[in-house]
Parts: sequence; C-alpha cells; structure tokens
Amino acid sequence: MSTEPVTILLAEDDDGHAHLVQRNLERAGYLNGFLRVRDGQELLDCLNSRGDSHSQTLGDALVVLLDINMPRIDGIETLRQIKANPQTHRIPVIMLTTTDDPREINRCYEYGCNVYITKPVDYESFIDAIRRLGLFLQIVQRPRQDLR
Amino acid sequence: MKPRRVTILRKGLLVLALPLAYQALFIGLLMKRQSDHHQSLHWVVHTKDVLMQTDTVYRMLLTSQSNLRAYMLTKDELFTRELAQGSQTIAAELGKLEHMVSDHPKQRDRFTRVFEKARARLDYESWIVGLSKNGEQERVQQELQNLTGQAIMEALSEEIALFRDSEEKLDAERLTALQRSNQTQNSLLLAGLLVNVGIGALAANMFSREISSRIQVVTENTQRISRGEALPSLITGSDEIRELDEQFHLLADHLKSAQLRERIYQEALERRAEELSRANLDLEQKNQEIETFVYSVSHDLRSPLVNLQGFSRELDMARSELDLLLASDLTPEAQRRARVLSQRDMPESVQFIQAAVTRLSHIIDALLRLSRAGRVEYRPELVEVGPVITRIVEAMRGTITTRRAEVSIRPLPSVWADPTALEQIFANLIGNAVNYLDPERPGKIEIGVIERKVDGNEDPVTLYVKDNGLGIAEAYLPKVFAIFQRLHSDVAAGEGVGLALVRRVVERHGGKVWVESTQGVGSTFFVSLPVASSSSPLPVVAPRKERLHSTISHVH
Repeated sequence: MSTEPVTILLAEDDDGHAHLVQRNLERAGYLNGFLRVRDGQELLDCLNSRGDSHSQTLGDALVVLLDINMPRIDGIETLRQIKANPQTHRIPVIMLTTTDDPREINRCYEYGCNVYITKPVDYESFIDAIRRLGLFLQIVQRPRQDLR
Repeated sequence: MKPRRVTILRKGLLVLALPLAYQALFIGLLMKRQSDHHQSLHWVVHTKDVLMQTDTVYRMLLTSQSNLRAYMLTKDELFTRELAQGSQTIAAELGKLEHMVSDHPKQRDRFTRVFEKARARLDYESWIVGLSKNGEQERVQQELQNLTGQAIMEALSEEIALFRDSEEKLDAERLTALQRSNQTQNSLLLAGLLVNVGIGALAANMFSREISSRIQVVTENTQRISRGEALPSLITGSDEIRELDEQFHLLADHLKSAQLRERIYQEALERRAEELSRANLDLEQKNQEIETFVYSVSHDLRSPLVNLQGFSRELDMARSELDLLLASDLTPEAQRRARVLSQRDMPESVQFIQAAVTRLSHIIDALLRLSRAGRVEYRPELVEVGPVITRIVEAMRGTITTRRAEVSIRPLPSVWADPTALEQIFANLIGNAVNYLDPERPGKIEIGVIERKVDGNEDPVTLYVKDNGLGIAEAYLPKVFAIFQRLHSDVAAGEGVGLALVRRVVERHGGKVWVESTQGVGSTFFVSLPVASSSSPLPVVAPRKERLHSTISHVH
C-alpha cells in the first residue's frame, strides 16, 4: 500500500527555530514536503490558496506546525481560524512554543490543536519531541480515510 | 433663673388640700349654723318657762283670792298669815317673771300692766284684811257686795290672759323658726357633703388628667425616639414629667447627632471602600500588566536561548561527524559531506548563535532601558517643546532624507516635563513614524498641538505625531503599548520596547498616551502632558516599579 507523502507546513518567525526543526526532521527521515512561512497570516493565505488551484502541489496529506508568538496573526488565532473553517478543520495542527504555561496549553486544546510541543531549551528533549512528532507523522501517513 | 418648681408632690398636696380647705370652711359654716340653732332652741325653752311662770303666778293669785274668801268666812287668823306670806311669794315670783321678759319690750310693757293689776289686787286684799281686823264689818260687807275685788281680779285675769296669749304667739313663732333651722341645717349638711364629694372627684380627675395625659405624651415621645421620628415641642409645666420630657428631648438630640455622625462615618467608610476597590482594581490591572510583561520577557528570552543551545548542539554534532569523517579514509562522498559540514552547517550554526547572542543582548538592553524609565529621577521644568522636536528631527535628518519623508513642525507650546524624558518620548514617536512609513508613497510626518479651549488653562496640553505610514490594524491597537509586541518586524529592527518606554515615561509625568490609526492610511500618536506642576505632580517611584525592576534584574 503506497503512502501518500505528507507535507509539513511550519509557521515560525524565528529563522533559527525553523532551521532547527527542519534539520531535525530531515535527520529523522522526513525529507519530503517541508514548507515554512513566517507568520499566521502567511500560513492562512497558503491554506486558502491550496483550497482552489494549488491543491495538487501541496499534496492532500498536510500537517501544520504552529509557533504561538508570531507577528500579525499569532499561533492561537491561526489555530482558531483553521479549526473554524470547515475546509481546513480536518488538518492536524501541532503547536510549537517556548512557553509551558498551562493556561495557554489548555487554550490550544480548547481550540482543537492535536498535539502541543514545548520548545525546550534542553536540546535533547527538543530532539526527542521532534522524534515523537516523526512517529506521529508516520501514523498520519496512512491513507486518508483513517485520519479521522 | 428657674421659676419655682411645681412638683408632682406639690400638685398631689394641692389636690388633697383643696377638699380639706373646703371641708374646714364647711365645718365652720356648720358650727355657726349649729349655734344659731341652739339659740332658737333656747328661745323656745325660754318661752315655755315664761308661760309656766305666768301660770304659777296666776295660780298663786287665785290661791290668794281663795285664802281671802276663807278668812272672810272663818275669820281664822291662819288665813291672814297665809295671805301675807302669799303676797310676798307672789311679789318674788313676779320679779322673776319680770326678769325673764326683760329682753322683749312688748312683753315687758304687757307685764308692767299685769304687774300693776296684780299689785292692785294684793293691795285690795291686804286692805280688806286690815278693815276686817279693825272690826269694820259693814264696810267689808259693803265692799264685798260692791264686788270691787271681783272686778280687780277679772281685770288681772284679762291682763294675764293677754300676756299669755302674746307669749304663746311668740312660742309658736319660735318653734317654727326652730323647725326651719332644723330643715336648713339638714339640707346644708347634705349639700355640703355633695359639694365635698364633687370637689374631691374634680380634684382627683384634674390631677390624673394633668399627670396621666402628660405621662402619655412622654411615653409617646419614647416610642417616637425608638422609631427615630422627630419629637414635638416640650410639654408644658415645670414638674418631674417636664424634666423627664426634657431629658428625652436631649436623648433624641443626642441620638440624632449620633446618627448623623454614624452616617458621616458610613459615607466616609463607603468612600474609602470605593477608593480601596478602585485601588485594588488598579493594582489588579497593574498585576495583569506585570504578568503579561513577565510572560513576554520569558518568552523573548527563551526564544534566542533555544537557538543558542540548539545550534551549539548542532555545531557539536557537526564537529563529531567531521572528526569521524577525517578519521576514516575520505571517500569522495565523505569529502563532499565534510565540505557541507564545514562550509554550510557549521558556519550556519555559528551565525545563528551569534544572532541569538546579539538578540539576547538587545533584549536585555531594552529591559534595562525600560527599568531605568521607571526608576530614574525626573527633574521637571517648563520646557518649550518646539526646540526639542527640532533637535530630534535634525538628528534623524539622514534617515528622513533616505526615506524621502517630509516633516512639518507646527507651533508648539511649553509643557511641564523633564527635558531628557521629553526628548526620549518624541525621539521614539518620531523614530517610529519614520521607520514605518509606507514605501509606496512619499512620507508625511506632522508634529503639532491640539487647540485647547481658552478658559481651560489647567487642562493638560495634548501634542501629536501624525504620519501617513503603514498604520496599525484595529485588532492590534490594544497591544501597541505593550512590551515586546512588534507588528512590522519585517520592516524595521527592534525589540518592541519603544512604545512601552514612551508610555511609562508619559505616565510617570502624570500624562497619557494613546493612538488613532487606520491600516494603510497612517497613525497619529497623542501625548497629553500637564502644563503646571501643581495640576499633576510627578508621582514618586511606585513600589510596583521597584518590583518590576527586581524582576528584570533577575532575568538580567
């Protein structure tokens, strides 16, 4: 059974963080379909354009990685909009942030995020978190009817 | 001077004394009546005595007449002695009778006539006896036949009858008088008794009405006090009840003033509570701000740290991999990988680390600046704003020229501020206006003052910095003055501290800063500052700022 390629869409304003995420994903073996945007607005634009003409270029299997602190539209607002839109609400969303404030985590889950990963300063844990993300993505790579 | 008090005791005594006085008066009157009555009684008895005496005298005269006849018939000397003795006794009894009627002139006159007739009769008798003793029998016989003695006796009887009649008439009169006196006395007694009872009842009634009705008023007053109503004017009088009422009025006044005091305290308390709750609300808001601030700071400090650790780890991994590659015989593939490591991955990591370090140091500098803004001691004075703005614009001339911007400065007033702080405020605002100009159109920046009402001299001065730059989205407006909030991070570099700094400085001057903006049209920042030190004194460094500062130095 052939697996559909999963496209990872990362919204992250910090270049370094984006770079680290990408490198570690590559190291874990997820080389295909990685796209990075700088803020929530850009991500939403991207998802909206996918809805019509670019649907094939981005592939159907899509996972969104969202940083919370971003200019213009922040991660939580982006999450809310993704989950409020019937066209995008099925897309799995993984929140990535530097804080571990439980109120904020709760808020993310209330809005419907699928996984919440803190960006720990401890690099080992960070890599571990990315690895776990990789395992999660392997599950997501199954045919679409199994997604939900 | 207080008038003599009429106490309840005195009133009570008065109530007792009134009937007593009447009773004494009545008894006096009664005694007088009694003595009059006795007098009447006496006169009745006296009349009876007079009548009896009259009868006695008459009887004696008749006896004397009999004795004379007996002597004439018997010539017995015994009768002459009897006659002489009777004459003496009659004279004595007549004297008694005269004495008895001496008080009544009419009766005295009548008695005188009776006395004369009696005397005449006695004289006649003794004359006859004398004739008889002398033996002049014919003369005696003649006298007897002449019946002169009989005539004298008849006249005497007539007089006595007259006297007796008039005396009996007197007796009847006096008896009637006595009866009348008796009746009068009885009715007087009855009336006196009734009046006495009436006066007693009236006095008791008056006393009870006077006392009980006023006590009723006082009782009602106590009820009014307990209900908190106003009291009517003081009751009349000067007794204990009046005193009691005065005390109750005093009590009511005390109560009223106590209530007034209580209300004043209550109001003060409420005001204080309101102030406290306002202060509490303010503190809560400040606390919220601090929390947000700490959250932003921790996030912003952790963000570069993630890079520092991540890329130093990357470097380490790249170095070990490179070591491994160098240790083996280098295949072309390994050579290529080693080149990638040394020429791409490692410099990239170093570059990110350097960027992260620079960013951390910028954040810490910005925090220090902000903390200084809350801590530094200001020396406010009246500053002309115009020259300050000119100086700032001149310093930015280079950037302004590069951006092809046009800056216009309107006439500006003087404000009460620290000159350095004022420069800091406007350097930030004008700097922002220049930095966030829209490259699509020629920039226009205007600095001016909002015209005030002529009479509003104490109002704060409101200055503004207006641009036609990128503008701010409405959703983002509330966050503009919060620390580390950056909207156009792609347009200009910065830590997101400038406007937070401006707000802190302005607020420490007792002023306000706010913004009006339309995305794509431009923004106007307003700064209101006091014109005189008195209208809005500079607040001293508040404890919360000290706390904030300590939080910052912790991070530092």
